[in-house]
Amino acid sequence: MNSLPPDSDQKAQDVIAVARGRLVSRFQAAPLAIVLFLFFGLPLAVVVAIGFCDFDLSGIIPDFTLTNFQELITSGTTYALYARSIMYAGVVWLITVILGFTISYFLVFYVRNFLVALALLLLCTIPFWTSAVIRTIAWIPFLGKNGLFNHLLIQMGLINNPLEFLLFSNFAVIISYVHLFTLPMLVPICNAMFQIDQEVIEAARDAGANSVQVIAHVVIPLCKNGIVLGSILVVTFILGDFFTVRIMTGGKYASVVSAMSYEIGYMQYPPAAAAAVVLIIIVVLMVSLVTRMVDVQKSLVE
Amino acid sequence: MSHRSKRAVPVSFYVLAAIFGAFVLFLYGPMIVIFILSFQGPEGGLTFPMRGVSLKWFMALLAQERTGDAAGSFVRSLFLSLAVMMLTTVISVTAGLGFRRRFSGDRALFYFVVACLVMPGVLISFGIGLICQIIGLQPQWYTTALGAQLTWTLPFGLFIMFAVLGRFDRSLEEAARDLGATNWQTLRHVLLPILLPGIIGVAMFGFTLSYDEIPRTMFSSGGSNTLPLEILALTNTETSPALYAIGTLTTCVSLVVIVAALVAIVLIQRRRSGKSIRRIDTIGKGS
Amino acid sequence: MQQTGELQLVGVSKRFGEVVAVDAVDLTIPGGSYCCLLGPSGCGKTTLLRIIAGHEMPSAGDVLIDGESVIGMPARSRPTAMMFQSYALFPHLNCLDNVAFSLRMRGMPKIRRRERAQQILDFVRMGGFAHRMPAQISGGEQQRIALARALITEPKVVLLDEPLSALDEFFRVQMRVELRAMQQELAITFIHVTHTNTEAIATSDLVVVMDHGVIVQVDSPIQVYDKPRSSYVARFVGGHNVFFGRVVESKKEGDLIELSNGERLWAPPGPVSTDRRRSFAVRKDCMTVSRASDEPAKQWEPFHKVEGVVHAIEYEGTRFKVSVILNKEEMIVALMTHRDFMASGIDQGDPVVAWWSPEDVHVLLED
Repeated sequence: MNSLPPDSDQKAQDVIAVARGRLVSRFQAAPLAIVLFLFFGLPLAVVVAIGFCDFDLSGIIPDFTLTNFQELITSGTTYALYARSIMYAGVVWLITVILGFTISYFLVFYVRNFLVALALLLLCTIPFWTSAVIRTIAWIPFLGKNGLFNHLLIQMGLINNPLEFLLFSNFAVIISYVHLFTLPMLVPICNAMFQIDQEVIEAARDAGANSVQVIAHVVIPLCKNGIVLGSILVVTFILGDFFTVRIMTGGKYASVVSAMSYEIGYMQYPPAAAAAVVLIIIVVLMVSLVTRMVDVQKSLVE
Repeated sequence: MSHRSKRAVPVSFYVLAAIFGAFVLFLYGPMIVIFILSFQGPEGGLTFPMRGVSLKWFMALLAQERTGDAAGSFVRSLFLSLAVMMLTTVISVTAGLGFRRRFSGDRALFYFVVACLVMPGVLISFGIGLICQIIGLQPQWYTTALGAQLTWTLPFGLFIMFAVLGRFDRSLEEAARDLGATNWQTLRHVLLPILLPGIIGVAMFGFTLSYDEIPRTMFSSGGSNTLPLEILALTNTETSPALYAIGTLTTCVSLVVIVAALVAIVLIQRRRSGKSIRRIDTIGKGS
Repeated sequence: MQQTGELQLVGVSKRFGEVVAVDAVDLTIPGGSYCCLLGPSGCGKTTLLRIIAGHEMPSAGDVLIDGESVIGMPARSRPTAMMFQSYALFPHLNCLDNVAFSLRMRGMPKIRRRERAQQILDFVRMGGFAHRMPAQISGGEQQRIALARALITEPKVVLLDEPLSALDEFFRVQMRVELRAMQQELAITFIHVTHTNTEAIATSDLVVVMDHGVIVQVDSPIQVYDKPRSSYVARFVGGHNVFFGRVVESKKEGDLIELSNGERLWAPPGPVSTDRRRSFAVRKDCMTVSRASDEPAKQWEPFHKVEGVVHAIEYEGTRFKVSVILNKEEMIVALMTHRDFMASGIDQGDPVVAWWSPEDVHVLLED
């Protein structure tokens, strides 16, 4: 009994054990933190700093100025770029959310075998892991003036002359976006929907809800988080789009980012950085606003 | 209700199945067209009809007569993707294990990872390019571009690890310790083998996402292009089916990696469910 | 035979922040015995088991196995082996390699460790399952594999965390017999955590009843069941009607106590709490119910009976369970033999008298 160590000693041991666990965790997370700091935090900080710098033909002048931002927000092109991006984002969001929800609903509630549903989801996922540029240009032989689609419509006798608006148009951009970004919407929704207990649906039906009511009052509220996550991904991916608008409009229009990259190409770093700052602010505001909205709603429900 | 009693498939099933089928066609159709058109005859153009069948456009890639440094960029991309894959796997797995405990700054790091995922990639490579210019460093595909790509692959890797570790039963670890395993042995003989399917998934994301990455590589890879950048440049200049040929080839590389990963995962799962040893069992019973 | 595996707990406490899960527990379990830790969920029994195994560090106190302190020793070095509630079989290894795992960790060559694992598998009668994967076998079979995996380490103390909770009723009874038989064959200490009173009473040499991190009674199963120490134990172990009351009259022969419903009962001499409360218990199967009008108990001592109305009658096959509701909604239960029940002729709603003989009164301690 004399070997009984004093109470405080063991408490100290306890504290040490917890502290050691935390230290191990920090050590394990350190590589991630270092990579993200060096290649994400630092570059963005530099971009922000350069946005406030003056410049001339010889290069960047380290001198604080707001000229870049003044020029940016007084220029009509900025608003035109954002208006176009927001239009694309709105339309594509609507299409992908409907498509993503419908497909998830089919996979989760109609395909009874889980493994089959998973395999079908995987089938939709595989293109996401292949080149986005290739998937974009893949629409050219399809939608072109002499493309497959026009060919088909003429053969069927629906039209006499090939449709011109299919390629190098807003239509083409939207088709391509939907093609690229339905998956980031589909997977989070599907994930949320798989977690819904089938019995909850049956209980709702027993309580007299019809299919539409079940979807509106049970399924949608239960996969709200998935829908929000998917929406964030789709909208931010569109805001960050680099080549789709350019390729699919045949160079007629630019996206926010591709316009910025022109400036970078011409070594106009401070104006490009200013444009980047605006984009960063918009993305951060949007994401934090949307996530806050969901949390508030969640706490109201609970 | 009546269709349920008859055990018939409801009409809505066919409607939804048709929508799903159309969506799959929408996903794969254009890629199949690209695949077919890459075998376009020597006189053929960028669209149908096919004017014969040939390998001319694939040959053109090898000869590099019109497609710039396609072969060189392919080799660079392959090495880069392998490096990104390995780093993504190691960093995601260790960080995933770290996140199982609370530590100071864990939430901040988590939000940082989310920010990485949603921030337009060009901003990152632009920033890296700027830093290089300021400190007089030459950006290289194997240094700066490598780091830039990690900011794209790591969020995916980490989120997969969260999902995988969330389903991991902690008592398996305790059982291993109870049975005399050291921390290292627990990791080596219990944690890693059980998490292997998820880790393969992380590796596959690491490879495929890096292999096709453009915006983060754009201003951070220096003078030598990676394959996706080369292809992007070709979309401005190239008007022959050679563009499709390179598309077909690069898609095939991605598909090989994806299929290999999926097959590996399925085999592991089958082994665990005991399906692969049923054969041995029945032989044993027969003798 | 020299018994090993004596376990001593000295002032063991565990705090999780403000919550005290285990509070200064002292306990000695003799080597080679089968001990059950019994209590409702959250009473600290699993925490205590995990402290013994080394998966949890106590906030204070000492754990000794065969007289040696194991505090500070990691789980892997302790002479204990734990069987987890979920069994925690490694899904990537077949049954043979699961069992051989600890030998592999020690670096034993493959052939030798597989040979040894096969022996243990045969011991738990799972010899034919060596090459099956855990996902392929039933819950009961998984449990035997988990047991084999624990036994191969040649532990002095085997720790079983709710080992029967995942099994269905039939296998539960079969398995608890087997666990007991294996423990006796191996002559090592088994510590079995459970919240099921019948499981604890049927299997063990020693029952440890816990409540809110504290041990309330340590005794043989017979003692715990027949002579519960406190009203908590009597209620938790079951089989007793517990009467609580205030002492209104004390004599040499005992105390007259008044229940909350005004009824007066006679309790043999015993300790009285400071606020003059007394409690006692009467086993449900020592209680007889008769019609109030019949009065076979009319001559019976006036303070060894209560009056009420039959609330429910359940036929349990071997006996009848008669619930009697007293006024102020207090309820007692009498378990009557087939013959006694038939003779009494009582029915639901009848006014009845429930009575017992003075020697069946068991005094409880009020803390």
